Amino acid sequence: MGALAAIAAIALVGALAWIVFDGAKGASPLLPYSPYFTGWLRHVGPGRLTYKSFLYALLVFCVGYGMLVGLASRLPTRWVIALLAVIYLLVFIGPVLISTDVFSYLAYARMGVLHGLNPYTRAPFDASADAIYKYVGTDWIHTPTAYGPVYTLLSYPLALLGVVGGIWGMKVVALASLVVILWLTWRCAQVRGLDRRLALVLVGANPLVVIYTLGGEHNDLQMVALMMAAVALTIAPPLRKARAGEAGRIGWLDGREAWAGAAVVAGAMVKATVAVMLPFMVVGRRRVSAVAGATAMVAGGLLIGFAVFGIHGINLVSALNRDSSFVSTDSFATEIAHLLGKPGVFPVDHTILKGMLVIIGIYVLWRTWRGYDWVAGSGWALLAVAVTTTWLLAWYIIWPLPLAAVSRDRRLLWAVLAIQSLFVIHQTAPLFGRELG
Amino acid sequence: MSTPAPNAPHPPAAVAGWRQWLRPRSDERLGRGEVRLIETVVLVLVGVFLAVATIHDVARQVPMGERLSADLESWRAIVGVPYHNPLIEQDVKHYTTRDIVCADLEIGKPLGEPQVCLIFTGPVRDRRRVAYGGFHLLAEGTDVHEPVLDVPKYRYACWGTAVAEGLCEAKAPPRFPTKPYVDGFSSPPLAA
Repeated sequence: MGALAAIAAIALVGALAWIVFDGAKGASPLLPYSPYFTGWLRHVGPGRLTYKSFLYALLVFCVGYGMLVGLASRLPTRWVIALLAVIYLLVFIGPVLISTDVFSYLAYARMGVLHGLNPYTRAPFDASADAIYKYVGTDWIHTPTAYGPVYTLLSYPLALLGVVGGIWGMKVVALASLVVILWLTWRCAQVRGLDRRLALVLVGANPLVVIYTLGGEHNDLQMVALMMAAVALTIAPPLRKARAGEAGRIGWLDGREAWAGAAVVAGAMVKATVAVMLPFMVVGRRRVSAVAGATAMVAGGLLIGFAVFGIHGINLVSALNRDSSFVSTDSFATEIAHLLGKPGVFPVDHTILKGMLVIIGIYVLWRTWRGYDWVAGSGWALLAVAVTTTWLLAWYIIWPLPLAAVSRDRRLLWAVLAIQSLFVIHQTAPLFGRELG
Repeated sequence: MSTPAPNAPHPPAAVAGWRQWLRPRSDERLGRGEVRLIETVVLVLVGVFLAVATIHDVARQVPMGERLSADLESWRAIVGVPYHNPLIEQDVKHYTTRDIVCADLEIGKPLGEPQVCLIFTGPVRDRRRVAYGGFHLLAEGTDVHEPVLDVPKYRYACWGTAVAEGLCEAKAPPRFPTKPYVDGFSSPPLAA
């Protein structure tokens, strides 16, 4: 076991170091155009990060992850935590990986704070003289923010740190969010009698979590942290009260259930997708308190959003509709279209996929009503969103992972890992051809 | 499908009068298993279908990647300078091997400078493809952060097959280059 665990650890750390240190040299197709703040690491790696070197490193990381998952229940907890700390440190000091999204986050914050522009009605192009503008992805320079008012407001202080300071700020926020996710996943697994170390490894060392989501400082981590807070508040009593055998009830209102409902809504005000969890919580738990907490947070969030950003700041549906019309080459919808001999996804396909998602959602909700675990039900719903969306990105497939890690229905975990594996396999085409110039 | 847990705890007094299906629930109720079996079969079938679609798409991308690589190398060989900000349009409607590769001649294209576009078709040979035509593409009023629109009204000075296809509608602006990099079918060796 010791030798295998050591090999797995070397695979994870070595692969990540390869990506980070080669990436630190800059000028890689895997890195977004970015302020060059990793120059002090540029002499560590052997060469520049190419598609092939990235993909080989990703595959090595995936093998190490698979080994670690298999060994997790026999590993000392401190050993697992130390390993995660090392790989997170590597990502933290490295360049922004794969995506320009973090520059969009900062651009919206700087628009609001430094230029007095409403990020819900104006786009980064309207502040094209700003220092962050040239780093924003070409596809997004004419696009107002799609994120919720809670996230937008929380990102505002980072605008005061400058461009590079803002990136480091985003790194800190992303890392802190991931640590919160891991703590809550650990706690929920403990309460449910599941293997805590397995849950920790499943989420904490996951390639899509570490390389794509943490590496790109995506705000999905904040959304998932709030999602897991909701789960922990409903299923895990506070440590002290659990020891004392007390319940957390204040009159007719169960405080923890109310906060759980509020946490889901707060998550949706970071990124709207997590709202799909709310009906499963309501139907599965059947607590008035959760509805009351969610309603209060909706009212408070809308009030603040409207006061600061106007009506556009609370119209998250239009942003969702806009984004759902995009098509990415990695989406399963695109792959199926190609399989069926079509050149791509057509408008009618969007309608069919939305219909399928509604049917799946209703079925899982019905199962939850009949007694199925609402946490697993939420996980299936989020997985269904990822599979049916035409705009699939790596960090979307991490949404159901912590829920799967704390669910007793292991089919969900297998399904999430299978979908993640297919996503990684789909990235590997460049390995079979020559490197693009 | 689901049966009540045999040792279900007594409900709190506040909801004791409520119907069973309305009472708060804290634990999962286990079903009999038939539904779970059907669900599992459906999930496996969906998984197999998605796996086939994924592997098919990877297999589809491999020759396409080879082609794009050859297009870029051929562009560089024909034009004689390194390409910058390349834009490759593929024929995704008819699945032919025709690609149009447009690129800047220098880094940080100044406002209004045109791109050079070459039309490639046919197989990859020795890491190159043959260009049979091309045009200059006006990007007036745009910079590297604005998309270049490859439409007839911005194309000028067509040569090779682009002339026969009537791809250009714009007139060559004064001072702008009009050099035909490929002289039609007669000179495919230029691509080598």
